[in-house]
Amino acid sequence: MTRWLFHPRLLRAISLFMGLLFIAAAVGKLMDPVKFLGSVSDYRFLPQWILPFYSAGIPGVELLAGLGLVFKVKERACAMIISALLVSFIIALSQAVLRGMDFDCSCFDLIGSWAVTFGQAPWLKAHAAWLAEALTGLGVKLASRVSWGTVLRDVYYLAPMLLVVFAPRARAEQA
Amino acid sequence: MSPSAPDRQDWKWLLIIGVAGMLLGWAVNAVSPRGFSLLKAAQGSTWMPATDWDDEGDTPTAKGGRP
Repeated sequence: MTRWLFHPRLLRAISLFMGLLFIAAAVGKLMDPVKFLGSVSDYRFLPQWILPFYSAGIPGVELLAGLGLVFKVKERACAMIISALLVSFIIALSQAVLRGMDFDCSCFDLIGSWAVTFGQAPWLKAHAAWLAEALTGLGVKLASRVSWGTVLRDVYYLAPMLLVVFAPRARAEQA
Repeated sequence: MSPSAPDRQDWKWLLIIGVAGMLLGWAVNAVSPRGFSLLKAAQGSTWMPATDWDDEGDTPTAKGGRP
């Protein structure tokens, strides 16, 4: 069972998918920091003085961790970061659902900011649309309301990420 | 082929990547045309929530945005 669960190709596929997903999400947020700040404040979860530092900084962490997963640079540490972020998203989303709040979760919808930021570049708009379609095909809804379904989606991302965190070490890595 | 827990090196790199990422995010925000002042925003003076809420604070009334 563990041999199948920790198969190197499976772990590589998980890292690639999650890495690309977090890079795409991070770039959208980095393109429009003020919108992401507003979105984070919708959760009414963090103290106001922390909000701007968190919302401006977290996309950078998502980007570096995503790049690390894609290019296999400190993969385990990057998987730990993504897992920690997912746990924090699950907690933030859950408290919003429990409080009966209803708004866009701002998980991936800022990917559309790519096209907005680069104005009229038609090739970029085309790529943003293609990416949106591809992600939707993989079960990633770009604009999704805060709901138990969104919480479940993050749990569904967290489970395979933990496989990368706890993957057996290669012999060379153990030495 | 047994699971392996993160070791000291992994936690060290988690910290390094985390701090570098936060600095990167702040730097991009500083140069972005849609960025905001971290210190002013911490005082709540340069932005509004993405959603406006009613008086009870439970129902969104309209889409907000940058003032």
